Amino acid sequence: MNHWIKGASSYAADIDGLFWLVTALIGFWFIVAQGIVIYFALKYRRKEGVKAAYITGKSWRELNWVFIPVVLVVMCDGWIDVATASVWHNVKETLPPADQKVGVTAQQWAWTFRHEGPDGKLGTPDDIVTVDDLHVVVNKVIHVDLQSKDVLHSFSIPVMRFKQDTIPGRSITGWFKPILPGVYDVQCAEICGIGHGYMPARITVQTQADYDAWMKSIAAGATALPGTPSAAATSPAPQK
Amino acid sequence: MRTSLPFAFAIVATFAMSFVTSRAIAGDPSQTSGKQLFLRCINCHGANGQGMKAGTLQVPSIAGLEAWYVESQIMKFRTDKRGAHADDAKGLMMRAMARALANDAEVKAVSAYIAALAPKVEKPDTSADIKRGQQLYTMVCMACHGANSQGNPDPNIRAPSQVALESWYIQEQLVKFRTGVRGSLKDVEGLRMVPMVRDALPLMAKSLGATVEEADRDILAYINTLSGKP
Repeated sequence: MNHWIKGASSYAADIDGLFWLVTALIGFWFIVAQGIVIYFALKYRRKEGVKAAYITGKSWRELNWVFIPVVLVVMCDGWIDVATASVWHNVKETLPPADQKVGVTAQQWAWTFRHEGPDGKLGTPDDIVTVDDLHVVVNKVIHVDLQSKDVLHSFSIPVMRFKQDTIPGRSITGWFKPILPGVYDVQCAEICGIGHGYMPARITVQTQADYDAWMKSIAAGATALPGTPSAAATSPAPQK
Repeated sequence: MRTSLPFAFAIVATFAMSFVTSRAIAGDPSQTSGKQLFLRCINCHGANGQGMKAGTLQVPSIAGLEAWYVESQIMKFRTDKRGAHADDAKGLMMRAMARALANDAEVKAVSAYIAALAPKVEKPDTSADIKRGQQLYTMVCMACHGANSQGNPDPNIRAPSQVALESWYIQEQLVKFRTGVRGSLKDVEGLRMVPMVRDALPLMAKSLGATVEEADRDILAYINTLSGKP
């Protein structure tokens, strides 16, 4: 999976493992099922002087073509369920203590990110608010508090293998721990209106020193020209 | 074999037609004309650019606005000079849609089309003090927007005619300028509006014994009486 899209969170490898397990099992059954269909289609194709048989499916020999695959597929399903349970528990049912909290608000058609300001607390006046530009520190557990101002959206960071719907009227907390510094895509994964395709954002995973420098630069920008509108809400340069 | 030949021919013909059609669309200049591009706008601004109200979302009329002004505003939305504030819900929507245009040529084409649409005519506001509105307009707005709100596209001014803009929309923008939602550091013209709207207008209003809300209403009513012609 890393060949196509990096796994940049602590649990990305676990989710990739599930992906490959599901892909392998489904791929196996796809090949088997299609092979049998093609084999039978060729073997029992129309022939001169041979009348088609009417199969009632009442004998055990015939029913076994249904029951045996069903049992095998259900066993595979159980295999997936068992493998998924631990990953689901770790990713969705467990909430490790936060090192950094970020407020994420979705709206048509942008993401607003509220970062903890110099006081290290979220929801205070020194919060740093950005549009479509999320900054987090590498190797820290990030809590994202997800809200929506209007309709359903889905906050998706493919490299983190993180995806969570945002629902109007609800506040949903998710977490990830980025392990690879870099700049990555953020996208909405739920059709949310005509501008759905035009609400990309980016996440910058950086060292603590780089994050502190970024925070200072934002704070400096906010006070660069006294008397001008607050620069607290900033957004990255447009993506071409 | 007798049945498979027509079937194969149908498949090949279908792919060939799809290819030819797609090439024709890509190469046909009319497909990227202002009218075609405007189809992206009609969901919110209406088929004739007259604006609309859908639920709590009120969208302004844009029909008949000057082409240079529409073009400049779309470019601002595309480059985060406008509509990039977290509290500017409509601006954020427009910012996304402005980026749906592929390039500067498309921005120019759709702007020209919008400018050619018939502007919306508003009813006069009889509750306003037009005379006070004229005084305030003369003191605060006229230098840039012109005596008849004809606008000024000079590169050093770039103030639009307000005549084709709806009063409620101008009012909304005045509030945005006052509260810092519009007029970012990147927006030269918007930044110029901030001290005029946030500082000068309330002062002038006070000197005439009016509140800011009354001043806004009176100015907008006065603008509604202007021709927009030099």
